Amino acid sequence: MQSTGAMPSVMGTRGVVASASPLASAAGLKVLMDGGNAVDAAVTVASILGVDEPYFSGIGGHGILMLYLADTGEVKCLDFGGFAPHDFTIDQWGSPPRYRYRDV
Amino acid sequence: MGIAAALSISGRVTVVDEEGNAVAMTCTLGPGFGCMHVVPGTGIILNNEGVFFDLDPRDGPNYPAAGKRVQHDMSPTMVFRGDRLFLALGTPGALGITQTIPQVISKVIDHGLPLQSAIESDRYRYFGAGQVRLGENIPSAVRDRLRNAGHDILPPGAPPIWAGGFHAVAIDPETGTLVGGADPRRGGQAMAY
Repeated sequence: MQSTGAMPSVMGTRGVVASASPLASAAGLKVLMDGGNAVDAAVTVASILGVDEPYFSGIGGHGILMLYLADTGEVKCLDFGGFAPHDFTIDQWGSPPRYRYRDV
Repeated sequence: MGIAAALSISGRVTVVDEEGNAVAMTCTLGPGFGCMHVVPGTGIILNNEGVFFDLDPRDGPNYPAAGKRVQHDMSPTMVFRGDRLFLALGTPGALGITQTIPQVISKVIDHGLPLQSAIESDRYRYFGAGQVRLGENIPSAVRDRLRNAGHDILPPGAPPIWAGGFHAVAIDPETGTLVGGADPRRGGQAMAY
């Protein structure tokens, strides 16, 4: 199994952040080092991602957050997906769909 | 289905803090720049996850309707050994997400690869209608077998963003060491202290 070996392994003992943006990861790590928790860091990283990669994600986007709470062992899932307009009717449907679940 | 259109692009975040709390999150605008609409005066780009709505089949989960949310593939994932967190990971990739996440998990658990190697190693993805993309280092014997079985092997593309862009954390079960990994296919960076 060949690896391109393009990126180093990153290790720590107190906190770790991995994201699509080095700037966002650095900001998230600083939040952890300043005493913030994983959610504080994640919100920070997501905010910076919206600036560094504004075409990929941002305040006007949506997503899923999985949270593990170490002291209770609980896992929570936050789905912050958007809803179709409440006055939408099917005759407003325009161009054909681009994503076809039934194909995959 | 146009292959290029099958690539969703998302930000994803994986964090573990000193108390061992962890977050795995995938955020997206859907296609690049979402629906191309900026809320005037704010700079906020609105998403276009509505592209996942689908008129066919009529009783399908993504048939459009008022007030409905689409079923989508964003799957930030946590893997536990017993009651202890072992992996937290996520990737963009639209319909490919649910194919590529198990591949990376399997490379860590079943093949024993270090996290970063598991992220960088080759992946495969089925695009429907018999079409498959394979990482460039997947052996030609595998390609031949798939072709002989009737599959259409599409060019791998460069960079192979169809394979996702993983950002992940592993926690060493013995030492508790935190390991971060990032995917060179889509940039990004893991950082730890």
